[in-house]
Amino acid sequence: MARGKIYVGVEIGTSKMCVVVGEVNPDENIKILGVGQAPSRGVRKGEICDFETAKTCLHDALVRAEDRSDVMVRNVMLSVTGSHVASLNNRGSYLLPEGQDELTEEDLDEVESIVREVDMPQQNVFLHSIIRHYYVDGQEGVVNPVGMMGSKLEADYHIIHGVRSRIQNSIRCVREIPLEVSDAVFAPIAAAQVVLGRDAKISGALVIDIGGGTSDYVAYADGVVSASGCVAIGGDHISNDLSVVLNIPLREAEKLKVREGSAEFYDGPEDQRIVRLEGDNTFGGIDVDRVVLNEVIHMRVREIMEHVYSEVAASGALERNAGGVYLTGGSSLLRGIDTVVEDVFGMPVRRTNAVFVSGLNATFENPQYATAIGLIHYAHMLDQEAPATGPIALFKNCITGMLNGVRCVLGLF
Amino acid sequence: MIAYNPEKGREVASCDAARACVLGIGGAGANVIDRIALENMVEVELVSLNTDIRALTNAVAARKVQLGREITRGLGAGGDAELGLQAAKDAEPEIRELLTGKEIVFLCAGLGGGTGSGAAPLVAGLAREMGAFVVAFATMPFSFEGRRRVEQAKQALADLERSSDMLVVFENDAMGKLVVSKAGVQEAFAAADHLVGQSIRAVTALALQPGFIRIGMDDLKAVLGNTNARCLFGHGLAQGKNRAQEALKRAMKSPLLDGGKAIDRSGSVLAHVMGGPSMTLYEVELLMAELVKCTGSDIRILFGVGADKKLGEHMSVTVISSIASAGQVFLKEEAGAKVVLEQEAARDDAVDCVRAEESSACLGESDDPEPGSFTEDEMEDEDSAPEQPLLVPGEEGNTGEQFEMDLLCDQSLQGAADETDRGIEPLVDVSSDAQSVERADEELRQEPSESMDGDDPTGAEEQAGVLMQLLPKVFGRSKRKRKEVAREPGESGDMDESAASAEDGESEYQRQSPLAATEQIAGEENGENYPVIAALEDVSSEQEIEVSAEATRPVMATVSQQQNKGPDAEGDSVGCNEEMPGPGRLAESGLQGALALDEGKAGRFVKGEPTIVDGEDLDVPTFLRRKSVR
Repeated sequence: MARGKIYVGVEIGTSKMCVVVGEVNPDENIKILGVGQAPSRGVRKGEICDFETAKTCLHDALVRAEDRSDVMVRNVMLSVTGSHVASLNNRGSYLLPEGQDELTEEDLDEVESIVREVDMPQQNVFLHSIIRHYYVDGQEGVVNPVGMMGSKLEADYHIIHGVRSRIQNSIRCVREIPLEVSDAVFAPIAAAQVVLGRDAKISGALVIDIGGGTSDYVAYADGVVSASGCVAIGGDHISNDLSVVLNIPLREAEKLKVREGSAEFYDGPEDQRIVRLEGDNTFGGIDVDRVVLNEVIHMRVREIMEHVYSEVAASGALERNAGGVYLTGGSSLLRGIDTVVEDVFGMPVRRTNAVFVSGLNATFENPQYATAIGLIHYAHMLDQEAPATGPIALFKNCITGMLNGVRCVLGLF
Repeated sequence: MIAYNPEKGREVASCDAARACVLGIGGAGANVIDRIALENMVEVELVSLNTDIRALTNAVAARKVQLGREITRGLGAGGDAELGLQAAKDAEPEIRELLTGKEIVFLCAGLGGGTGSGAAPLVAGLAREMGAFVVAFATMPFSFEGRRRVEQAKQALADLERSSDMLVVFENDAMGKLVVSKAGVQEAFAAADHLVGQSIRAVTALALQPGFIRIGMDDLKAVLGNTNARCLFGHGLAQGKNRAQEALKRAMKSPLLDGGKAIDRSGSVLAHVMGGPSMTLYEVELLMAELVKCTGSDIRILFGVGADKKLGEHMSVTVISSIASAGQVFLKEEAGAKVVLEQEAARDDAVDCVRAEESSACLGESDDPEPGSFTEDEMEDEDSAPEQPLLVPGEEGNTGEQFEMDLLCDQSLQGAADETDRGIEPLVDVSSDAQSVERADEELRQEPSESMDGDDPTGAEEQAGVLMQLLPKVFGRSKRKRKEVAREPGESGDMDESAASAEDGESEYQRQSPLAATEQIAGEENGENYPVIAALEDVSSEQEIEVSAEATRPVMATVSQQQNKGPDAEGDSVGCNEEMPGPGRLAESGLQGALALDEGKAGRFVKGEPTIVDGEDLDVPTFLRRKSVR
């Protein structure tokens, strides 16, 4: 039985820990084999604040994922996010040495190292440096200049960096499970892989992943990343707002948001205006006016979107955006959120989930899992972009592949 | 034909929202502010001022000012107006900063408590001093909250009246009418808060929103300016087919207006009609015709119409009128058919004289406090005590009718107590020479809330006649009240003699010596409201604990027993005056550390790293930050 390669994506989210096991078939289709999920504790705004608790939760999720997919997980891709992650676009230029007129791989490496010399805080490290375009002697939009003739090579890079220690905290958490982290990926970059198709990337699109603690975004134009970032406000803030304003426990606020909340102003019949929150022995119960409820939610959602908008607009990434806004992440399930986003951005908005995958329907149809599924796609992409060259590397790859893919299918024994 | 464009027709608002603010002072004020914030009634800055840090932390207002950081250290004022005043003085720079550049200041406070009664007049005075037009909304306590509280509230009301341009008074007792029977206590309070909030909305709308026929602060001043600051207020909101009539009916039903009977027919009435785009001229005409029916055609009506899209299919009407003379006040309260109000007034008389006794005793201006004054003082303490168990069912049963019934019972009980009051009357040294009566009258006129009682007896009799028609059942009661009115000048003459020198326009609590204030706390407030603190303060002081036990114990003994016991108890409380464990002293002793003001309302995000963008803490609900993005 021909097996594709198995990848595992881990997302340490603010509201849930999620481990997705997926298989990339030889025909490059992603198939979801299993998903493990556990409610998250000890994580705030996308970052771990209680290490031990977070570890326990992650372990729970992992056990469930292994159980469901019948895969023993060793090596994972990890998504990271948080307010510390920042991005910028930078261009570097490199003059080829005298006598050389054909561009080689080494020249590309050289220009990349030049581009990476950007002004960023000392404690920060690169998460990604994504090539956008090359320019060869002023010719724009060169995708792969290797083998081309030229004397001057310029490159536009999108650089994403974050605080080293804060990224390492997430990695360490996974390593202590223990699992091996093959790469850390900025969450929206991963999500965009499965949310946007090639066409959308070329025509320009903005993906906003509204999660529990953060709202991450990435904008594509001409097929490449043009802006990305993270606003550290998310669905948790909505619940918290309700809890604070209505003076109800957070748990009830969360329930209320999911069941009754909408980001649109209430315009329904008068007799359905009041929502009765039933009390229990710890909570007295309360009548909530939908007008207030929706307004609290609306205000927060609008604020999140305005922050995202101002950041994206500042980078100029909205100018070439024909595809509109793609909403994903758990909070994109909120009623009426698309209307608000449309109002703020002034462009078409659609809610979406991981579309370019197959397997467990229930999984990829839920926008909550977009990032974790995207990680699988991203891992596969990395593998393809950088194929093992030497025999030693090939051997190593093979071993890790085997470890990765060890299946404990009971039927085999 | 040129189509009418309402957008173009609008004129510029005379006062923009940035120049107005709504201040909520004390717990009751904060509740109103919360209600306004939650219902998004007005688009002006909301500020909560309080001494109690816990209440302040829970307040929804966008801006908060802690009063008396050093004095109460984050605790409440404990029903002590003096402490509330000190606390407000302490925070004066902050308040001044808050009021800078404000043209109109709305102030809401529940009187009777410490912070509300103490701080509100001062804040109003500050605002006025800084050139703002001050509109105060005051809530008077329920009569069952005890005499002291009512007395304190009356006092504060008089002060507030002096220091504000416009004063709207809500009687909590009258609020009982607002709520349908079977409504919960919470709902009743919510309705009361709602009414206050609505009136604030209406007045802000008057002042800030443009209209076709505009009514501004100038008109408001014209209506209210000629007389004292108190005014009558009614607001109604309705939708549907008969919304014009309905709205007016509701406005007139307002506990303050009471069907228009209370409106001063020789004065003027301000009527402001607001409606959504669907409001028709016919409806306005209809409404005004109805209004004239209620008020009489002689009255001068200042009329304004405005459009507010927010109202949608609703139509609202606001009626504001001045209280022209003391007689009118009397009419209002009596015609209000508030048995309780009257009773309260009657009780006030008694309270007044007691207060006079007290202050004279405390000021030490009279030679010796007569034994009679002590006994009566005790009496008064005991008087209020038996009310409480009686009112518990009223609170729980919480139906409007029941509520009133209870109050009637209460009244009859009170009546009995009054009987005993009269029984001990001879003990009080009554010097009723004509001169002192005259002076008492003069003095009483300075406090318009009480002036109705001090006015000439014929006027009172006339009014009582009106009452008789309205309320045959309580006639007997009112007759007795009249007797008390007759008695009152004599007694207040006593007060006059003792404290007349310090009388000119100064507030009561300013007049009282610190000793008087402390005695008051030690005698009542402290023991009742702060048993825990009392215990905390100094456990070794046995005497003190005895006193607090005395005060907290339900009083079952008969009056005569109490009378015998009285001087002892009094002696105790006087004895412990030196180690008075009131909140003020508490702060001085440094026993309780200052509670830090939790500025942020970030909920679960409080502990974490704040998300601050452009100096704004994003963890605090957007709704509360009022980043009005609509």
